[in-house]
Amino acid sequence: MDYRHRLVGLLRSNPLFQDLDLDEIAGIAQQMRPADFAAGATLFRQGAPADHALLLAGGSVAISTRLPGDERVRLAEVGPGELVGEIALSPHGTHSATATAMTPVSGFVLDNADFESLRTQYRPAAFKVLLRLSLLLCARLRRISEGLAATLAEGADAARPAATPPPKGYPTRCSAECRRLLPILPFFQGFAAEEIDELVACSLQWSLPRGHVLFVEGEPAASCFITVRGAVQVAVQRGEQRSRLALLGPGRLFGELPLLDGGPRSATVQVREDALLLELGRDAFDRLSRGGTRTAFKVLEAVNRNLVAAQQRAIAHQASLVAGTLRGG
Amino acid sequence: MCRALAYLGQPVLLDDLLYKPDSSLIRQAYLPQMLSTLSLGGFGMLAWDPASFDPGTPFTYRSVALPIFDANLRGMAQKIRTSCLLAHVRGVPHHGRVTLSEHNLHPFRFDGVKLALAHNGDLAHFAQMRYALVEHIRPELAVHIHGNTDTEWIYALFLSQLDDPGRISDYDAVIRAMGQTLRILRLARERSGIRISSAVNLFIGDGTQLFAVRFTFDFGCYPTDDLARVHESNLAFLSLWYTSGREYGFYDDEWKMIGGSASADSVLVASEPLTRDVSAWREVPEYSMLYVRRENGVPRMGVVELDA
Repeated sequence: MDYRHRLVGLLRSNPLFQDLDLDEIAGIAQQMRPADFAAGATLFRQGAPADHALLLAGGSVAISTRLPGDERVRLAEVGPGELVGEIALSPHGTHSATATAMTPVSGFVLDNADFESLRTQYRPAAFKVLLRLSLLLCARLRRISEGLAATLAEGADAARPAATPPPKGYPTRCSAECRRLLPILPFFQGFAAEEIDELVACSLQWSLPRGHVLFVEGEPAASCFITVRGAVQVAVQRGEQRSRLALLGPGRLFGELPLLDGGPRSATVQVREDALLLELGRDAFDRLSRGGTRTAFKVLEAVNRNLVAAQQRAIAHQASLVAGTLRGG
Repeated sequence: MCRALAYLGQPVLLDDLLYKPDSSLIRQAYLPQMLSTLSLGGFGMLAWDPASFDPGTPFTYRSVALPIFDANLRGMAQKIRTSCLLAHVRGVPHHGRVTLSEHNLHPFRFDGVKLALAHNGDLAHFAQMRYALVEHIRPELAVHIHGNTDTEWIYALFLSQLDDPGRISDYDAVIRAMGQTLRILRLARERSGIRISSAVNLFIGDGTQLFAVRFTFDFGCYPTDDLARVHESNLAFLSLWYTSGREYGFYDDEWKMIGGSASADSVLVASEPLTRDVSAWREVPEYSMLYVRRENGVPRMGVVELDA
């Protein structure tokens, strides 16, 4: 009984659970179990399936990533009240870093399977947590891309590229041909046909040539995009210097960070191979991803899958630069 | 799709690269971790051994036999150490137009030429564009093309962009030649109206330098006529991974590089990691070329973006 009281207190003070009411907190607490780890124990390993998250009650945990040559880079040190392994709240994820107990650690485990039961029943509590998870991932991605931009800015021309004016005749409504392609794309994995139609009904279609700069870091944003065919490149750029964050092919979402957290564009996106894109405006995105409906659950899960993948890419990129394993020239 | 690996560094036993790791190249030939299917068309390798007679010339092995059942290969792998290796498992599509032959096995290395090349990928509708390449291939190199793979043509085209393929080329000359090769291929595809994604991940080495290209023309442009036949390689960029360190071996119950990456003198590049734990591996960025060159005798690794 004592530990439940302590657990509820920890959940209430954690940002991921801050939107839950007391009943919902109690429901999540019921799914969790206490766990203890000796100093030096590995809580989870980078690359392993994310099957549980751990809410820390005591002790200190190092989050690190491994590099070629068997080196490790410490990314963070976390303590009581923080949740580690939160990727487990998103389905089919893998840990992007290793967590190691630096001291004896106590905490509460939330298994992926238990949270999934809340998710698959479309419980509002799960929805609120997933929404907060997306904001957490956004904040991390912004920190990483700002850090990369800062390394470029040293000694570089701070000028940024300009967006290309939109081609004539676009955007159009999503065509029947474009709609036909959507079910095979990773973003729409698990969507029913009518759920795809709901999203398509409020989307616009773009067909853009290689080299077209769609939007630029720092701009205000009114929409996000899904690549239907072709590919785009996501980068931070200062003058001639560029650090590429991602190359996104069919079925990948981009430009969603400002719609989630209200900030400006975090990176510049340029078409790498002639691309067919779906554009989703802010209002439609809000309605689809926050409405609490089944479609909203699926959109939010797809958004989080995308953010988790972006985080993994960004951490690997950042760690490689820190270790100097990638040198240009 | 094929699977391939390249190694440059401290001499290691072939067995430690080809067979022993839990996702070794030979195991990938029947149980790849990052491909859903792989149908085998044979195995080939070039292995440079600095202690051998004529160390600038690699030991060559090619067989259309399935490598897992190839006792000769296993026997040799347990005896030969190499400081530079290009090894390739050929994957072929399921149709009657494929020729299974030793002439079609990678890596390719023409007589009198230093650089060898293996390919993981496939140029879609290659037969339509093949002859547009002829004007860019030197006749003295074209005569060495004996097989009918797209790879051998890419190889001849690439060598034709070098001043003297019979000599060791500077790493920057190799990078320039690769950029030119890819631009010629892109133009030939455009002129032939080919707009389907086509991967050209390349593994190139001459015993002293190593290059690995991760590139896909028209990435994301999958065929739209029959969506049931869209392949995983049309939707995801074909993988290429690397790891580096001071020494490669079996440490703490796993095959890995140790000694840190800052002063690395051994590099391993592969279509997919040789171990199921991929945490010490990194992906070569898309549209990029990883190079390992020697600077005052010390290997230096870097990555350049390919703009083609």
